[in-house]
Amino acid sequence: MEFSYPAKRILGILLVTEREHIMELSINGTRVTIADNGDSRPLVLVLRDELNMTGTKFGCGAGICGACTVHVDGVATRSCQTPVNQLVGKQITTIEGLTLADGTSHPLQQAFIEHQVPQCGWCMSGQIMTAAALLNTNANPTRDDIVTAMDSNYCRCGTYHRIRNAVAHAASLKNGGTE
Amino acid sequence: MTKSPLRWKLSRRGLLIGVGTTVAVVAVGWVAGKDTLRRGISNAAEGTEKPVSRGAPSATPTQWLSFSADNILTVHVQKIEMGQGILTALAQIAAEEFSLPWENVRVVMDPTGSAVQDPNGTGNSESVVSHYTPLRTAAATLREMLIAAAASQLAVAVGTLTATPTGVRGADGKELTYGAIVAAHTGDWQTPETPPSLKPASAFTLIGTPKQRLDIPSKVNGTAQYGHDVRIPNMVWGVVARPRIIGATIASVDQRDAATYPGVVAVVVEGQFVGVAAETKAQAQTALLAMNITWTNPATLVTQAAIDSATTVDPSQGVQIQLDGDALGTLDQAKSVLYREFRTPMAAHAHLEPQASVVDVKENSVDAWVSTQVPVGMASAIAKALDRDIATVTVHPVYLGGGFGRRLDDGLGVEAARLSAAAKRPVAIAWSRADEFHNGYVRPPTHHVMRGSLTADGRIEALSHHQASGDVLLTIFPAAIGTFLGWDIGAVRGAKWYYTATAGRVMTAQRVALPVATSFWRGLGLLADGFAIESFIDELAEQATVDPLEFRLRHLPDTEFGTRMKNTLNAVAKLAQWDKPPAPGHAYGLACSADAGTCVAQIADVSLKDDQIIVHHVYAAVDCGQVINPDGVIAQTEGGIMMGVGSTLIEALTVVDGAYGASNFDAYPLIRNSRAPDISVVIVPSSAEPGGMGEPPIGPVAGAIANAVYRLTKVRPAQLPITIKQA
Repeated sequence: MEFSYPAKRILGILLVTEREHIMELSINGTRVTIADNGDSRPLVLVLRDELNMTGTKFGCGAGICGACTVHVDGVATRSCQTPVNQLVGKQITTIEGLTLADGTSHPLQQAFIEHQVPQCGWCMSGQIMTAAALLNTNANPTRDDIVTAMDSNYCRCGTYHRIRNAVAHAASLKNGGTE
Repeated sequence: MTKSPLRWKLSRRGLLIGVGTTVAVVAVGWVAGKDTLRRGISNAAEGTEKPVSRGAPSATPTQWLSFSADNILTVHVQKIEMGQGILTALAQIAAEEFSLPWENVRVVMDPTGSAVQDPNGTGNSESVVSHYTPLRTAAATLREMLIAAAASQLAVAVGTLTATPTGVRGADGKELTYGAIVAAHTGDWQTPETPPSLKPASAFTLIGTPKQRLDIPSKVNGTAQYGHDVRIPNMVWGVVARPRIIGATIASVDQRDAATYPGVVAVVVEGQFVGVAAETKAQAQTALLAMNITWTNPATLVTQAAIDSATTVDPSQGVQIQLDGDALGTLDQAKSVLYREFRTPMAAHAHLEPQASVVDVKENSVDAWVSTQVPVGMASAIAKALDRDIATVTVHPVYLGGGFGRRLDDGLGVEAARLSAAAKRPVAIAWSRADEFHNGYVRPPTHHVMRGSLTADGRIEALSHHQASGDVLLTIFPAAIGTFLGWDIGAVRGAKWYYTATAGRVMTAQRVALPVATSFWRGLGLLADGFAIESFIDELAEQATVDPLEFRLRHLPDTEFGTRMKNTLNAVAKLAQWDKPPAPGHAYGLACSADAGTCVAQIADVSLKDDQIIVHHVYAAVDCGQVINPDGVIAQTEGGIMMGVGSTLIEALTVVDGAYGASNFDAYPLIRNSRAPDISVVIVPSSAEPGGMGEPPIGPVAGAIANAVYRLTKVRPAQLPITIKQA
């Protein structure tokens, strides 16, 4: 098959783009391509501004408040401090991907509803992702374990003690309990 | 502009009746505000009468509720959900008169122009207060209209019908749902001749019953839409030049190349407004940087010392806003006068969602999504900036990631509107954390001079509170009003004495002019005034050698308010077991305050670890009158306490080298989970009308903690945040 010159040129640009200017990420089990500008823009902006995945929140951009927390290979990670070019080949999980394989809500989401934790809600994706990472490594956290883990996340509305109670409750739910 | 789905008719008894123009729906709306008597009932059968024009002052409801053929009751409001649970509370109030199943109730934050115009915005802890009776009245009216229509449809007398949770039942047992009545209705809706009777509180099944908040499910799975999350097709990103030095102005701009930078779609330089819109945030920031803006600093840089010095009580200044008896004369003559000074610093709102707006300026209309507490004010500001008719501007409400008074500012949407007008595309402006710290307004600093004397038998004889504060409310009014009044009604929230004194009481409010922008912050003056008054009262109690609880109870008046406050104090004392000693090394501190029709009392359980104050537990009792959603009351109490703990222990915004000394949370940390106390709340049964809950619980926090710290250190904390070295 013969391609006209303009067609070849366009095809060529596409192929080059494919090879050199696109980066592939794995987000919530799905492969996602984004532009590779050779820069190190933070994951939070890629998620929110390029992929329109706004469940991950921007709070401070300095790794202090925890609102942007996601999982990278299961570890709670500040997406505002994580350049995307370090994430190729890693598994990124956001609040949108927290739902369990069978389609049900994560025990933390159930517990946060049951304890009526959120007020404004802006910090909640980060709180829940931080808590989920804790429960992944510590199925029976003590109160001190919970406080230590959740100390990385600000809540300006002041839902801290409901967060503590809800995380403890979620741990019991995860363990099949009905506390 | 969003078209109203309803045709409205105003008539003689003060309500607005709306009917659907395309689908079967009947609605009752009302105009809230200064004159609720402006409500008038009209009858509006589709197509038979000329609709009331939207421009007529009393023809656009402030709120309305409707019943549709699918048997859903929908409440339309412009109150903004920022975590206070207002949407759920309003749904409970509206559904109560129908005894409707909870799942049949919806509540919607309506855009401006969609037959809802709420000029008041959301703030001042007044949403439930202002909606409670009008919403029930409208709901009862709608119920009566539906029952009358059912009687007509069944060809029976109204008196033969009985109410069911979802509609009515005839004497023959035949049931009609409200939705079926709406669907089958033809002709005019009959409005009740007399005001409908409202349910007595004893018959409530929804009001006062815990309900899960309607907004919470979307907030645990990332789907809730906030201003910062709005993404619309063809949207570009805007950035605006903002000064870092307080009071700096733009001297020059080199804009020759900016428009040619990659991705740039518009460059706007108009006086002090310099902004760029580009395909990406980074491109917009790069272009703005390339414009090499030079700033002119103010002749004298603002200093913290100048702010502190200005915020100082001057006995020759101020307006006596409370004066009974001869307080000052008595204090001048008294043998022994307790004298104390207290100070509170500037503070940031630090809502975790930075402000954001998306504005789409089109040829004949404007759509705006703005993180604002005042959608109508925002529509007005955008219309004014663009020289457009406000009727062509629609502000779409979004959830707010915290408000706390910061989002009463209407400048936010104007910036994006100006860029969008130039770019001819929707423009999003998302503030950074540094923008928030440097370019907002702040809680005003305060200084309080307290004087008091006791009678020989240990009663309060005279009280004087002289407060110096930066402005709060006056900042939104023309300067002449402040000059005329001479004091700021916002700064003195909680500043007056409610404790009785045998000889007299005086509260003097002194405005101070500050070189920084101060304004609304949760509770306005409430936290600062509560700190000063409740610390001082505790010390008077100590001088009188009377238990702090007993001392307060003795000095509350035998009025309805006094009785409510005494009940509240007794309730918190019981909850915390005030009569039993705290754990070893701990101390209890008691404080109370009243605001927005709500009484709050708190006991803080505090200990010291090295130089750090540990607040283990805060016990709270609340009398907010008729409770709507008990868990909402508890949540707002917890939130107010936690924000107050932050202000009491760590928060202070200071000026360094002419700029705010914080650009991010490293220099202005918030309370974290490990310093957040456990909280127990008891709601005091009350027959009063509903009071506000957004702000009142912050009132006693600093006083309660300070009083506990005093018991541990025997040094009276004189300023916020409290530090042990200082104390």
